[in-house]
Amino acid sequence: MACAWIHCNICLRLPSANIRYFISNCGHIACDRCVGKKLLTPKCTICKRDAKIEEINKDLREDLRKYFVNIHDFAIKSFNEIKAIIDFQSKNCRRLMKHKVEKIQELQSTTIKHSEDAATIAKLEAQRASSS
Amino acid sequence: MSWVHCNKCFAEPNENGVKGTFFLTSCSHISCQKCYESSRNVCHTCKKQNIKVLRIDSSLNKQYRQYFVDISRVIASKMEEMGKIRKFQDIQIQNLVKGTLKFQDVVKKSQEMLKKYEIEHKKLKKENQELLVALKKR
Repeated sequence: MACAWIHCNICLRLPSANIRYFISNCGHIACDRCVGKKLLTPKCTICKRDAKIEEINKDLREDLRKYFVNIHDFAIKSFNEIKAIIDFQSKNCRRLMKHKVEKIQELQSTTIKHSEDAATIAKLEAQRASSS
Repeated sequence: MSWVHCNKCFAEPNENGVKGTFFLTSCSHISCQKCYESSRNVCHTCKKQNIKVLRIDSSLNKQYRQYFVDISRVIASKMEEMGKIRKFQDIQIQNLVKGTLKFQDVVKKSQEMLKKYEIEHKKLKKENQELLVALKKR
């Protein structure tokens, strides 16, 4: 986890080769030494709450791992996702709209043809009626 | 979402006579059940081979489900996530700064004490030498 601000909230130890960090569900971070001294779990000595912990490493669950990302990277990733969604949705909207417009035009020309045919039929019937 | 339609036959979900689920292909096309069954591994819209499909229903995973949701909801949820992340990181950074200031304070106090001891040490050394000289004279 390459975040520059990570440190043990209890003893303030900074990252080094052998140090391991843990995060609690109360939002506090502690090193393996302090966790070994039971300073984070089962009770967090910072906020006095009962706490469960998870190790902060590349296997940390997705919904916790996101707290350690660079926020700018997260923003850019979000914008790219949003752009992809908008592109997908508008492409489909436009295609469907074009199809519906074509359908309407088809129906309109059919309707016009039908009313022309109806007018022709009415004229022929009128002629027949007057000649008989 | 009312824009969802089969990219091949334009069938829409919930339309009269349209049965089955719709599918999202790995090449980003949408297919109704009938058109999917008639072309299977090949995309009927772009002809790509060996495509994979996902059902467009509640089983769709979070990442792809976003594509079928109102975009303003997606934006709102991303903003909420970013807010939470930022708040957490701000608190951690503040804590780190606080700790650093404390350390600086401790270092300063230690340096002051060290100076005091150095002065004391010099004094005692001088006293010691004077006493030794006085002893030798006796």
